[in-house]
Amino acid sequence: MSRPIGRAAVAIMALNWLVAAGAGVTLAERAPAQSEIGALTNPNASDAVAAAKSAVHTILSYDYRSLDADIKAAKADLTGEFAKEYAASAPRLLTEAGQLKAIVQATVGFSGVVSATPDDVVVLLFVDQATVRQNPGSSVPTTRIDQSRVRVTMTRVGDRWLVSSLNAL
Amino acid sequence: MVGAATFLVLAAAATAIGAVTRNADAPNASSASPTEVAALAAARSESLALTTIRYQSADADLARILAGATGQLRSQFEKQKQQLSSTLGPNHSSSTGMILSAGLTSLSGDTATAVVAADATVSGSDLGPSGVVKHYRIVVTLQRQNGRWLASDVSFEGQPQ
Repeated sequence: MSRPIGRAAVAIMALNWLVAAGAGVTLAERAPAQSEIGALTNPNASDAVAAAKSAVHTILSYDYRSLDADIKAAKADLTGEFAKEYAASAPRLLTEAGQLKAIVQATVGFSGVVSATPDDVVVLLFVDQATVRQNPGSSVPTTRIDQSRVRVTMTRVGDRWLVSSLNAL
Repeated sequence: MVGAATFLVLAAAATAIGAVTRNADAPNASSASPTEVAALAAARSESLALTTIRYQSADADLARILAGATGQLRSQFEKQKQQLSSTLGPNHSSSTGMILSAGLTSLSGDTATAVVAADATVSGSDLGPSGVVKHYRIVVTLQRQNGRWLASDVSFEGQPQ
């Protein structure tokens, strides 16, 4: 997993994290139950989960009538290795989705945090993908729903959480 | 059974990154709190118990489910105690589960929710010699009792595929 983040940025993030950790300790002294909240359920993780839901919806939804814009939107949510992979596979998506007149709508359901550090949060999401497409030789569109389990790694880049890996389980 | 265009993006990602992310579930004990780790472990273990039921060992398998269950989930399976062996026996039915990934959704006081991705190889005389693999999406509600996390409710999201 490559993280294209400069040294200075990392230092600043580390500083932010220390400040956040300090705040956590203060809270913990007031309310003992707070000490049970760790990296999987703290506000950092919640932010990453919210970003993951939005990004997964964007990346896994597309319409053959707006593919250029859809791919551009997806690319804006990516970083690192997955950004490269997606860029490499986008031309194929453009061709195949266009030929099949594919419209794919992803709905993100339940999600949870698998593991987390201040800068990387792994999120498991349940995703339904509804597809309408025109198979070759067929005059009638076919529809289907795929129910999948998607695991993403969200990586902090500046003040944003971006997808650095995406895996269908 | 995934359509080429449907999952083009997913498939490409899975092939390229599968090897890298295989260990993504490795526990991050340094940053997760012991409470979070314990709740997630309970969700994994109960999901494994619920997807691992074999006709040859139905009683022991059921005992394992009950050991990790409380409340509604527990009473549901206690009621099935008598029928389970006779339901599984005639077709030699068995299911062997495997946990692929699990994540913590929420944790507040003595209640937690987790999501679990599990596969199970299901076999029986009506399913052919090698059986079929089912893909599950499980949501587990957990309650902490006497310091132990137990599953109080389980829902399977969508149809197993």
